[in-house]
Amino acid sequence: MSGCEHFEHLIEEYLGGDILSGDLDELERHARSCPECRKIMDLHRELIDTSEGFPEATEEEFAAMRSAVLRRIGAEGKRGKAEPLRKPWLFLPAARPVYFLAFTVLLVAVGFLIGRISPGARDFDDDLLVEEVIRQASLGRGLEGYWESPFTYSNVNIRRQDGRDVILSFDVTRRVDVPTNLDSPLAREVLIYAMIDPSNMGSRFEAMAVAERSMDEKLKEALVFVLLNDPSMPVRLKSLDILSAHASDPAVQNALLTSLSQDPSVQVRLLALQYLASRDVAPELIRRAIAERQDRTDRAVLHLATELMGES
Amino acid sequence: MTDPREKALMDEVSAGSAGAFEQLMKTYQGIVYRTCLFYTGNREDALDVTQEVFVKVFERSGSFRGSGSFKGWLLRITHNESLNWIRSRTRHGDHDRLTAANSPELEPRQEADLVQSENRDRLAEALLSLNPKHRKALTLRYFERMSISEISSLLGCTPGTTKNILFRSLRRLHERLALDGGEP
Repeated sequence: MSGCEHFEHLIEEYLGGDILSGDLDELERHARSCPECRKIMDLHRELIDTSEGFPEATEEEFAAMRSAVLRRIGAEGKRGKAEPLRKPWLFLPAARPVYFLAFTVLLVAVGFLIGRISPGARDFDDDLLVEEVIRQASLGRGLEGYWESPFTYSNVNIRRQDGRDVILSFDVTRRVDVPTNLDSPLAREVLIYAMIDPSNMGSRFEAMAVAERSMDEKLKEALVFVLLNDPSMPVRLKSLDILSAHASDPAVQNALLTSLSQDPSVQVRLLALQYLASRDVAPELIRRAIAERQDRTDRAVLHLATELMGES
Repeated sequence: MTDPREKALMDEVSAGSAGAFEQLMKTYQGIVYRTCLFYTGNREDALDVTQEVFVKVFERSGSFRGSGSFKGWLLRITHNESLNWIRSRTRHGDHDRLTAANSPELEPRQEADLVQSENRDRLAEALLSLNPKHRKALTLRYFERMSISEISSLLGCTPGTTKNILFRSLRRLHERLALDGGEP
């Protein structure tokens, strides 16, 4: 369902039964040309039809069922008398301490046996872990929220499959392989985390290379963050290189100007200047960025500015 | 959180009131039956499993503390009993169905019922192969006919998240159905 993010939201509204009629028309039009979305909508209808086709039980059948239950628990014939049911003593609240004691003994015994038998720590349930990781990734938190995620991803590796499918490998509580799509929330989450995590330069480069081929607003925001904050000059250069293709975007343009005026590396500043000048950014903005830099002896930048813009 | 009326009813059941227990069965028999019907595929078995569910509810009424949703607690028992029923299905039952499918003497109505039953089985098997959260979301929505806000309250998440879970669950169900060779 690649490229259907907007329609995924509309399908969610559709499944909830509260889609607006204009949105429904738009969704129906899209579904005519998108087999994946169509199939989800068809399955929704099939499930409703199946459910509605269920034979309802009659009141007589329910009454017979209730009588059978009451008979089995020993209450038949007592319904009208408001007499207490005779629960087996084990089901009475008074028996709870017995349960508690038995359960505690059982727990200790099982724990003892497991401790003796199992060679290592208990295995996690991968499905549950991945499900939670994906759920967290789907929360749509902003860039500042990435540090608040209950998971930390590291040692990121992205194995390309057919088309836009990838297998993401990363360490979270343990390393997992998750077949997914580059457009999935999980792929975005892991890519962004890999880009802004300063602990592994290789992962940052790899993530940026993948992000370059599947850019969206969040990835762009992360690349801007990298450009302005990453401690490694080669990483900032790579980010700058990728962002240069989006220099018409005001946020990217501002980042390039900030980089031009504030980046500690002259190489980064030169490249930023080159990209800004080649994208027809207003010369006065570029001049102001250069002038903002306190180190006025930045001769290389001034020289290039003269070459590119005909003035210093 | 449990509805105070449900909690009061369960307290009465726990204290041994037959009237309260019958009232509780009347209130929830429909929702329990429909869930069981989805798993069993026929009215008789669904009523049998419904009966098992209420016996279990009675037996475990003392363990219901009222800190969570009563309906959620009841539906957990319902799902578990339905799964037990599926596990206990004998090969003999499957054999009967196969024999019926191959019989040249089936009436058109029987054939239609059989196709409907097979479709339901196909859906049920795919549904059972989903993880518990996805399975729960789909059964609550489609077979217990709950609203998004009711499901949200049971799952403990926002309506937006619930819709997203439903969407992902449907997508996963579709994948499972496609894997099994039948397009939904």
